[in-house]
Amino acid sequence: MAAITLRPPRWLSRGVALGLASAFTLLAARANAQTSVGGSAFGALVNTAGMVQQTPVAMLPTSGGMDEQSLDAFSGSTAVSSEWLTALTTGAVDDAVSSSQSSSDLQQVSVLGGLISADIVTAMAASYVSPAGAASDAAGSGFTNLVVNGVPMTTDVAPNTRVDLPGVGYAVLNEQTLSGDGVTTSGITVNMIHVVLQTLTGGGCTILGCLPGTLTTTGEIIVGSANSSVGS
Amino acid sequence: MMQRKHLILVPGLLAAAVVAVACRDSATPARSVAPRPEFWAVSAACFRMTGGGRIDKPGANMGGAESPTGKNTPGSRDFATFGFQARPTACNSTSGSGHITWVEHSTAIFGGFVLHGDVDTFVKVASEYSGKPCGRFSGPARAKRRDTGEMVSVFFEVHHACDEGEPGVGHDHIRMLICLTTCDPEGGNAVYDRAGLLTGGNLQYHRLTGRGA
Repeated sequence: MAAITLRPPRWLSRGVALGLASAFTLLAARANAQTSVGGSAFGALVNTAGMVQQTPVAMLPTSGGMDEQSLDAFSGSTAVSSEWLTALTTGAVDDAVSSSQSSSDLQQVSVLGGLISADIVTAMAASYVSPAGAASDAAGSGFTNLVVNGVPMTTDVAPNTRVDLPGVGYAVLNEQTLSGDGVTTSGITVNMIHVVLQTLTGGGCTILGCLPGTLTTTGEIIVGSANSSVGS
Repeated sequence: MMQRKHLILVPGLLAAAVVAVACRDSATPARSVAPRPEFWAVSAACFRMTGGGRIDKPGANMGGAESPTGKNTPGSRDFATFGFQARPTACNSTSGSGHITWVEHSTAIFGGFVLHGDVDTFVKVASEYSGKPCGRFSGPARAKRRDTGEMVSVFFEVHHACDEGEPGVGHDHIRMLICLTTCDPEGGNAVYDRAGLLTGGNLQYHRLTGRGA
């Protein structure tokens, strides 16, 4: 008795194989697409009178990698002068742990003619996501010999410390902004010196009394900025 | 009498061994722990590493010791910041690729400098504390002194970059050597040697898979 073997047509086998291969490719692409990393850093940004100057800027590709930009000196504006500016960002997408970390370093920093000065400004941002969750931090950020309004700051500056700058506006030191859900996404932006420039318009006094003026934001200065983010 | 003395010593030795093992495997490495013998063994790697961050206090770190202390006081310049990506060119190859930027902020150390290095070797070593795989990579570099602006051709070796878990701060550790010629594996000819636990940032181990392996 002859054995009968049921074989599918060759074209059908090839079709099934191709279909499976396509499905695996799509699944792999989808898994990679679900996680991305982000990172950026810059030394200084001056935005006044509609003119924006930002340098040096490092940007991380969403698939990860490394970017580094540096500058020996920055004195293109009277708003900020600095030496040895380095902006760095690295990161990688991974099934186990995806991570991103960025930093910005500047030396001999002077903002608004010395209203704020520091020997070193360091901004640091780090983010990671794993099956256990996602988190970000600004550990390592700090100042060396920071002086604000002529007053030396001898202790570490707490996150989001606001300092008034009479006649100029105000500054937020060690400004930290978190984002993400802490489960599958997380991010942080650190701006070590963020000056908001303001002018007073309107207002004044007559014999009938005084009317308050309105503070209008006219520009901003950011020195030492680092950003990192992970997740979909 | 002699027999009784031995009986008293044995529980004491057992307790000491338990304490030693507990210290060695703790999340934050203890300073007094002697390196494991296998820490010095080098083998080809099948993983890559990325990282960036900061380490502080070179005074406590010279010679490769890693200080568990935190970030410096606001008046200190004694720290370095860095970023890198490094990998073997293929699984189990000891040639490598990648880049590193290392910024020394202390003006007391060669006037402060920024180093840009290109990775040409990458191997695996074991963490001195946990036994986890760490990256060791090296290559030629250019260092620019900040006091004179002079550019110098040197060689670097990241003696180890170890990912000990998340977050990186207080756990991950790195040691950087700079040499005028190719660095001896243990840095005997190093003119710069800074090591420490991260006080900022993160080091990340990534297994090589698929086409990247």
